[in-house]
Amino acid sequence: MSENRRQILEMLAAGKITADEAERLLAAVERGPDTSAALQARRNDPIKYLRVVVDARDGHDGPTKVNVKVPMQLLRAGVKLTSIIPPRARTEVNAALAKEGIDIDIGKLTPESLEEIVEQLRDLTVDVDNERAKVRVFCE
Amino acid sequence: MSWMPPLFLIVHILPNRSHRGLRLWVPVFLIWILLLPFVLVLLPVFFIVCAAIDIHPFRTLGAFLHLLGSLGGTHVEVDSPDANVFIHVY
Repeated sequence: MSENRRQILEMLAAGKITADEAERLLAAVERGPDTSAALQARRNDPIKYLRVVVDARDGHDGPTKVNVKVPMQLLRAGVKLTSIIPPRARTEVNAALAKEGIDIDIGKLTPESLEEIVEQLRDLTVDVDNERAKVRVFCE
Repeated sequence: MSWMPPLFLIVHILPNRSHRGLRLWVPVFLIWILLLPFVLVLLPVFFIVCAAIDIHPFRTLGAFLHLLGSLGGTHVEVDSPDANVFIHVY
């Protein structure tokens, strides 16, 4: 028995983790370091595209499929446009955002903070599946 | 960061899944070349407008060039019973 498995079972026996958590941890240990290395390598790859895939089964004549691939660079460039908003308009935009509960100052969006936002999108996946259509939004 | 504007655009519009339809391969770089003299002529006007509405002209130009340069790789594909549309920006 490996050291990791022993530790997980000891934590389970001591009641520090639940059976479900132990199962997940054991599965992660079984997958081994190669998977985590692959995952890390994937994390180091920059996100290139925002994908929107729609598979509508609503049509009377047949299904409709939509496949849209938007470069993340376009998103970055779009956010960069906020830097050219005149100061007076910027104040109004900030006030409108604050009114909607979004407390950010668009004038303070730096390339670093923008990268952070884009990085957070890596884990974004929107899946909508009903009898009429299947929509998937994700980053790759 | 890419400052290169899109060079080619491929547009396919095939109605009713037929083989006949619109298949365009648009050399967009020719449009930029044609637009360049107009841009140069309108540049002073642009600077005046920027000064009037209190925005930084060079930053604005940079942002628009960046936006244009980021269009490459955009891909739109719609396959419906009525038509099949394919657009790809290179």
